[in-house]
Amino acid sequence: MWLPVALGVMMSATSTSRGHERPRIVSLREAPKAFKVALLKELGYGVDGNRILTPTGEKYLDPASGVAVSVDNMIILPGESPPIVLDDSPMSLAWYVGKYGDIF
Amino acid sequence: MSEGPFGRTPIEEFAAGLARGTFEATGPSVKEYATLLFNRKLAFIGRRDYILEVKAQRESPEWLIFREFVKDERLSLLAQMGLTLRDWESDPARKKDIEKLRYRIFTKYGEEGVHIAQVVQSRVLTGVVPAVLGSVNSMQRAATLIESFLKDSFRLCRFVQEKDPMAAIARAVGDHLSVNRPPLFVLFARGAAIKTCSTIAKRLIEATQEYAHQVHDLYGSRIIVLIRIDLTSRHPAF
Repeated sequence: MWLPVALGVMMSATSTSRGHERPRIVSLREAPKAFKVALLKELGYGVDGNRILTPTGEKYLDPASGVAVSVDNMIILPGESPPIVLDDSPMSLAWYVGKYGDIF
Repeated sequence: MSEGPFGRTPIEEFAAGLARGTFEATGPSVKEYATLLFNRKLAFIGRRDYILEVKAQRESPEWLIFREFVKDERLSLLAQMGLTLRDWESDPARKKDIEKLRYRIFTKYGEEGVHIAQVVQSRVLTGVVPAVLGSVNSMQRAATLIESFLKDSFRLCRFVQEKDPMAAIARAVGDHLSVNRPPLFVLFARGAAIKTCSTIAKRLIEATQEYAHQVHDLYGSRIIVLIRIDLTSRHPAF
């Protein structure tokens, strides 16, 4: 199981541009695919190979760009509920920051 | 300890730990990570350069001015992507990133979306903003005009190529101006196409009495903004 060791020594709490406590920032780039798949399933998404599926089994599309999001190129950011899975691209990040504020 | 580019150093330590492949058997479970995500206490990111670029862009003077006028969510996102494409266009290493971003813009917003992003990328909007600000007497009116221009830029901005048929384009644009009377129309050209663009603009200006024009030469490009005279005269309606 992939488990980042430094989770307990992250940054001190600060606020985001929307007044929320800043989340801890963790890179998924080095995470094994098995961890990503398990996490997606825990969040309620489906997985078919490298393709992410909605809870009802349809192809999951990035809300900002409309492209199918792959396990290899996803990020997961806090949203309203549940957390939002996005394609890792400037378009999706800019969309997210515009909608939810700068958490980074 | 100094702050990192995200405003805090621990992420650097954390990223370094991940890069070393450090694992801890007693760490949180997948379920606990999911709970942290649900509780907004955790964010899983990908490429850090993307985040840094988005953050830097949102603090740039050009974006801070645009956002005063461009409130629509779709236009705002496309404008930001235009700035991103411009940031990348001179870097051969970003060629693949550019292709991927254009594909995403096209997938969501079609050819029109790509055109809107290009209007920002090529600095057309950078030329339009001062032309509008010098012509109307309220911020609200300026915002309406600038946002309308961006939204309809597929019809209101012509990217001129060197070999374009000048007479035919001048006639088509002239007809558009006299029939539809848009508040703004822009001709854009780069490099060798500037001569063609200027010739078209000259014909248009000679043919219409209803439009004034401004010329902006920016970074090897020419942006000719035609603006309806009843706007420039600060007509009471505006």
